Amino acid sequence: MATAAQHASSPVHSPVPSVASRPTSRYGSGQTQHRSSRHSAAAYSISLTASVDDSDIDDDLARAQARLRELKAKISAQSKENFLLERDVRNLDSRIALLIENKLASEESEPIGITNEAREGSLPDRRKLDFYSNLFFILQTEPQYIATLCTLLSMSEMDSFLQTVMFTIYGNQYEQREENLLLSMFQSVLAYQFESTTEFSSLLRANTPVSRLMTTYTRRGPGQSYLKSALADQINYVNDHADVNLEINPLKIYDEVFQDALQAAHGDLSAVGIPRVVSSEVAAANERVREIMRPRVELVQKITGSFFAKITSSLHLVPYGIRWICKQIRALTRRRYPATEESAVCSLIGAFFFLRFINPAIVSPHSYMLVERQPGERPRRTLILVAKILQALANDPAYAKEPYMLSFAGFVDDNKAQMNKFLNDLCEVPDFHESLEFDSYVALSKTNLELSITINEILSMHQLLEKHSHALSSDKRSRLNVILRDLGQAPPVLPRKDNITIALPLFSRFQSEIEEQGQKLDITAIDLLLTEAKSVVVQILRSVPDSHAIAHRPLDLKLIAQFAASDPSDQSIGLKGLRLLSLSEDLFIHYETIIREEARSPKTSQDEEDQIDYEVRARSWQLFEDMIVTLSSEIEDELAQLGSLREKVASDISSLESVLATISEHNVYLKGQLASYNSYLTNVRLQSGAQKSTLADRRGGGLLDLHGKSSKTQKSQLLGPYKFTTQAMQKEGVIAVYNVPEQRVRNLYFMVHSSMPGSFTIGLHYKGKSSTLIELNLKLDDLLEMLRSEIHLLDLEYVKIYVPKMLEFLQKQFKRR
Amino acid sequence: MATREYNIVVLGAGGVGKSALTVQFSQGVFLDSYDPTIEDSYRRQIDVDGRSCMLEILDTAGVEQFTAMRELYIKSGQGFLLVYSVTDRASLQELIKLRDQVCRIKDSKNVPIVLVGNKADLAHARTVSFQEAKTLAQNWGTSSFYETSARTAAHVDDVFADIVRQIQRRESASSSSTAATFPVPPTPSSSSSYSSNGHGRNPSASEKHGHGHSYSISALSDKRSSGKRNSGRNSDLPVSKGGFEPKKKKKTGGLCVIL
Ligand SMILES: Nc1nc2c(ncn2[C@@H]2O[C@H](COP(=O)(O)OP(=O)(O)OP(=O)(O)O)[C@@H](O)[C@H]2O)c(=O)[nH]1
Ligand SMILES: [Mg+2]
Repeated sequence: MATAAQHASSPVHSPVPSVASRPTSRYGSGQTQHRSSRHSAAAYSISLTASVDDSDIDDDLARAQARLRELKAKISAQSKENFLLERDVRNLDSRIALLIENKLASEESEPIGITNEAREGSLPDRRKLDFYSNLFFILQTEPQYIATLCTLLSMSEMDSFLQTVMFTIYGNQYEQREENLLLSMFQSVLAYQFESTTEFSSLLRANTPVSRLMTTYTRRGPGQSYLKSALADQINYVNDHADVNLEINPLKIYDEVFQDALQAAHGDLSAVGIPRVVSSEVAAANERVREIMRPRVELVQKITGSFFAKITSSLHLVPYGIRWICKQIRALTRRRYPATEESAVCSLIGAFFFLRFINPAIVSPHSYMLVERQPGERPRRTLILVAKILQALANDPAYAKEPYMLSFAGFVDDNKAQMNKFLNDLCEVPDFHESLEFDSYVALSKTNLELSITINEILSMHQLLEKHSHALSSDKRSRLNVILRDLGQAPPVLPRKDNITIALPLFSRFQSEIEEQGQKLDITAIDLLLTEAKSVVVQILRSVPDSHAIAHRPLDLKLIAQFAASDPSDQSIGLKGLRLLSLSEDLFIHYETIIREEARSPKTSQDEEDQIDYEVRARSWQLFEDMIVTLSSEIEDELAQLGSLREKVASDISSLESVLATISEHNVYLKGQLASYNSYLTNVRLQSGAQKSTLADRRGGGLLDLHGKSSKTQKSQLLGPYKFTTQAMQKEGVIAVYNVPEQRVRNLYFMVHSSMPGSFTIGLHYKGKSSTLIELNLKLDDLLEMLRSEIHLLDLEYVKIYVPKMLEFLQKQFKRR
Repeated sequence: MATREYNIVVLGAGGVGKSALTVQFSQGVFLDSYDPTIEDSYRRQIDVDGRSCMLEILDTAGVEQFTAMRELYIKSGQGFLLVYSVTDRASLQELIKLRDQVCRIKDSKNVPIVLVGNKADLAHARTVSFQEAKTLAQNWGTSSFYETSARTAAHVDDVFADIVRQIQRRESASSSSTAATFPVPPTPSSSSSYSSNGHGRNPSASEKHGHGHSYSISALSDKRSSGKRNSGRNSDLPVSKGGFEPKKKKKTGGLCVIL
């Protein structure tokens, strides 16, 4: 976790002097001066973040921002941990079920630990890790590969893949660069789905890897905190009124009426006077039922109305990424199905926003951590009704499947227009392409990018890429394929206990990368200079009081630079001033180079050269001056933004603090749950252990017991080691294939022991050799899991083991009671 | 003659046609448009083998974000329709896990289940063969299997009649072993504690009996100790889908049954 936190808090947008000062003038003749203003806009869009990340500045805003960053890093780390814990709990649950189903509960498995302990010797070697660094760099920065994988994988492969994608490769939930890369991955995936769908109606509604992807995304920190602010109050209100019965299904109300009548008749069925079971029509026509129903319908409508009002008024709180996905859905629908009616477009947006995001949280608020207690019977029903009505509002179905839902037809009509407006408003967010381009460039030059990742995440990803490499990139020389070739065959994943988390640095070994990438992204060194200059100016201005002479508008950058450079009171400001001066100089030189390139032509005389030289300098100066003016006004804007930023940061902090508190709580709960599981397992083991030893002796009868004594002690759970010849194993059907010459086979033998119920160590030996050829530790549930996932062969290098028989064999030989 | 009620729950992946199937059965209408379900309920009376049966059908959400609610549905149902679409292989695969979940929560391998392959009218888009699904149902032991079309109504009624018969069979089997008079009125301890009025589920009753919520280990060893299920050996190790809740003390003997 420590690495994740460090990683998250390291400023990624900090200015990058090393690159800025690198000679990168690769301006071709096609470049013209008006480009620079466009670039400046690109630079502008990220410099806000750049200036924010500077640690030198120590004002309130900077401190608040530091707190915010810290919170975000904690939330990222914590939600990853929760995700892992949830998976462990699920895993343990299903393994326990497996064990019980196989009536082997006493031979249970080792508890699953909360943290994985480090083990030497299981890591891929240094060289391999370097390749993996490259591989994951490519995966992160060229999102199309992951996008393609999403469409190729089966649902069962999806879970662990998504974990790696959402919580590791793009695990920094609040980091703009990773977020943007993740979103551009979504874009490809969505586009693919729209391309390949034959049925418009099931688009985004069926369960597909893509839908899983998008919902996993909504469950990250920002989505979570939105749900809390948009829904928690309303849900808690309903939940707190646990005794309010708002059932409106006439059939169910009729049952209530009948029960009341039965009670009035003191339980005498014959005296009730109405039939016990009736049809929907009869129930709906019953006078008493209608009487009860009317006020309930009204109240349900009111409650739904308040949910809807809160949701629409929280528009601005919806995380950017989620709104951006809505925007993509709308754009793709319009592009691919131009004839689609507006209402159908809205219902598709709703199929994501309400069906996959809002409504699941309303009907099971407990699993979204919005309430503390699971809602009781009645609030649960009320929440379901609210979700059903919102669903009807978003989808506008032509037919009411349940006739009683027609009671809300009026409500739906009244609110439909507003719903559609809301769904459209969701889509009104800017694209991020300009800043993304710039970010990737910055990222390339950064040295401290790293992922906190487990070995098995690395290996599984490698396996998936290997399996699908043809579909991913047909070009043999693509970077992906080059690296895959260098890596060789993907090794199998490690046993759980060896699966440690490492900090994998990300870098690209492709030399020409920066330039190539820069070219592709159409970004120049000038952008870098401008960004840094802007950031430096903002830092200088934030170090002086607002009333200071250099802070007067319009800003005079030259004055600011000279003032700062000569400021004797603050060394760091002095350095910034000097930096600013040199940046201006560089900027001018760059312009001059560009202009000169453009002006040069082979057939010029000396005279002409002189004339041109003058013109070049004049035009460069003009360009430079213009840029300074643009830059000044951008900086002014930015300072204004910083003002409002102060307020925004304060409110962000309080909302994030509550998110962190909730997920930390959930974390405690999960750990508790895991602990109960583990203690349950320990219980079972103790029970079986108590009766074990005598039976172990009995079982040991026909076998060579090398550690006779220790296996008798009450405490030790050790059985064996027992020796088994290959013939014996073959007879049992355990050995499927030999990979050694026939005459050697009889020199092989196995030593097997069980140090505790359900855990076996199998060693393969060669006669005359003292060392073990190969040793492996097998857990009963590992074997069961293999069977379940239909892995029947286990490769021991020298022999291949047939898993079902191995399981039978071990159970027979090591039966404990 | 009194009409018996049967609580049937329809489960399966999103968009396979659970609602279309249920609405076709209960209202005789085919739903052409896709309106994802959150939770709907239907009722229809039919005659099965001359007996009048009231079917209480719960149509559930296939959209995976709602699956947290499944556990509750499974607890409340007596018979289950597991629906996939013959045009969608993944939807069949999802049912394997689902059936495990049903058996686990119901604490039995003999839960009334019908495997349903819907959209059989879409012959050109078929990706799952009849035989393949049939084999799966056979592996499940007691389950029956039908291919249906909610569009043409083919075999839709058969599915529901079959599940009713299965529930009846199971009840008569369990009631004869406890030597009760037939028919047996549902009581909290012998039936799956579904309460017909839907809101009156009595949690204290199920806690007291250790049924309903719990997953008794002894019952799982049905091959060896079949018929001993009610012999007072209910293990104190409850497993529910949501998780294990280990108890501090266990009655001795609970574990012996396993081996
Ligand atoms: N051709 C054909 N289409 C069907 C059939 N059954 C359902 N459909 C169509 O499939 C789509 C989805 O059907 P639904 O019944 O809503 O699916 P569902 O399983 O209830 O989906 P969820 O409620 O999201 O779980 C609709 O457009 C139906 O018209 C069928 O038997 N044949
Ligand atoms: Mg449905």
